[in-house]
Amino acid sequence: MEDEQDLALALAIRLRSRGYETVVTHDALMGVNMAVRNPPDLVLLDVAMPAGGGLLVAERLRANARTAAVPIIFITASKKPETKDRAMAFSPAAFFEKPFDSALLLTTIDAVLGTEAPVG
Amino acid sequence: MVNGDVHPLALLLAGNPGDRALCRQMLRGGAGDRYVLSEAATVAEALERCRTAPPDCVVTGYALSDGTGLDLIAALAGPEGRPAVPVVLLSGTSDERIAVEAMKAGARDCLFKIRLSGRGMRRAVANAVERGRLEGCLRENQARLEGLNRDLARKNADIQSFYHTVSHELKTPLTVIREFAMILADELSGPVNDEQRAYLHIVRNSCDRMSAMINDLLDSSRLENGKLAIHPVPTDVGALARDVVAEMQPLALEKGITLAWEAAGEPPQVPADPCRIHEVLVNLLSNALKFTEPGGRVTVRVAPEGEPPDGVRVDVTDTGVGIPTDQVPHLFERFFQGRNPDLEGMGGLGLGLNICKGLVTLHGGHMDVDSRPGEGSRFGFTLPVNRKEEGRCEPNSDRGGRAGPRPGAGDPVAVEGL
Repeated sequence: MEDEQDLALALAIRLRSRGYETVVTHDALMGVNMAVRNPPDLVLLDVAMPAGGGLLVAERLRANARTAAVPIIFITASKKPETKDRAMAFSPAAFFEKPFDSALLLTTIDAVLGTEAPVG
Repeated sequence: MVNGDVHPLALLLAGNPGDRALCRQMLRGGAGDRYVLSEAATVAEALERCRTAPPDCVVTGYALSDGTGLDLIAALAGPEGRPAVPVVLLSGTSDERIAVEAMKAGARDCLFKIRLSGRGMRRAVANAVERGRLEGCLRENQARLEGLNRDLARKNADIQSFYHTVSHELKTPLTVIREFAMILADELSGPVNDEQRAYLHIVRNSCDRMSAMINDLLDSSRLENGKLAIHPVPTDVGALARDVVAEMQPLALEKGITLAWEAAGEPPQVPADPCRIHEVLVNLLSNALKFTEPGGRVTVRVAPEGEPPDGVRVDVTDTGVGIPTDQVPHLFERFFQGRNPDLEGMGGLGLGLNICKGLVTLHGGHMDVDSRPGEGSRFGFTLPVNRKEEGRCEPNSDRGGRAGPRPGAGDPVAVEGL
């Protein structure tokens, strides 16, 4: 997962440079706890995460009143249609397959945060 | 099977001991093959013998106490319908119908008792044994080849999936390198000077080149597996070609090459995946620019195909070095690295044209080329208005727009004007 963490760091640097406060975690349960404690305006979620996976995170976030309306952008390395179907069930704001165009991801994030009312 | 190389085993099946004795006598006479003989009086007994000690030939009478010689043939029938053990039927009557029926059922031969001679019997059995032996060899060889074929197919699948894994694995660290080079160049972690920024752009460009090669490798393996999907939408290929020409113009200018765009008639819209056709055009134009000297000319021509038009035709013509005649038929082969030895090192993976052809074929079109050393090259492709949907990569969907063989997978390419 080292490469993935490096990519997450690169993405975080880009997001911070655009003025977003960014928190990175590589653990699903820790991510849920952090989000519930301090609900973010957007969750960027890798479907394949250690300790439960991104789908579990999405389920927990949707089940909690504090995070139920937080927009989610899924990222997945999986090409399986069922992965996408399962992710789409959470009505995400966007869905990216790896490898994704990071510029497009950033503009999508801008668009989501620009149009959606901040939660929490 | 022949029992060793010694003497073939012949099984004699006759209800009447006198008939068996006659056969025995006949087969033991003469100067030819000598047989090990085994005897049975009923169909059931003969089948049991065939099971425990398969003979190289069975000589059977027609009428037996528990059936006929034909029942034996039917019971011995293998998966191909014909008995694996050759059977010679010895008919007591001279009724030709029995002979015809026996041969149809799979008997090797049918002899008539009243016309029987020792020589005739020996010849029939020897032939049956020999044919049985040859067919056995053939079956073994076929089974061996089928096994080999399966092994090769599996190895090929392994290689393809390895390509796929390697390509994916290489991409992630490459993306990390590119991302951080750009983070540095964009001064997100502190100021860099112009020289440093220029170097970081070299890093990025090299990443992009490597990324393009990895993508080619992935596409090539997907094309090979029939797993590459295209997303056709109604497309104005002329406009697409004009865009690509504009995109490539700086490169042409840099090399001092005139890059021109020509339209003829009114080409119809065709169902095409714009990204993929863009890719084909960029590939053909890059090649043309690469192999054309400064002062030369590269022309992209888009025209209707067929009369009345049922497609669109794109030709990329250059005044470049041309392609040695012996290399032309191989240009679209996967991994083919040809061209002029003087230009060695201008390489790439040898996948570009193969991918182009694969993509055009997926669209239901075809690619062709003509070229002469020193006189330039023309690479062209057509895209039909009616793309055959069924079987995404149907190799025989040529709609006969042009003469010459269709360049399907592994087919010779249509070479014109040579």
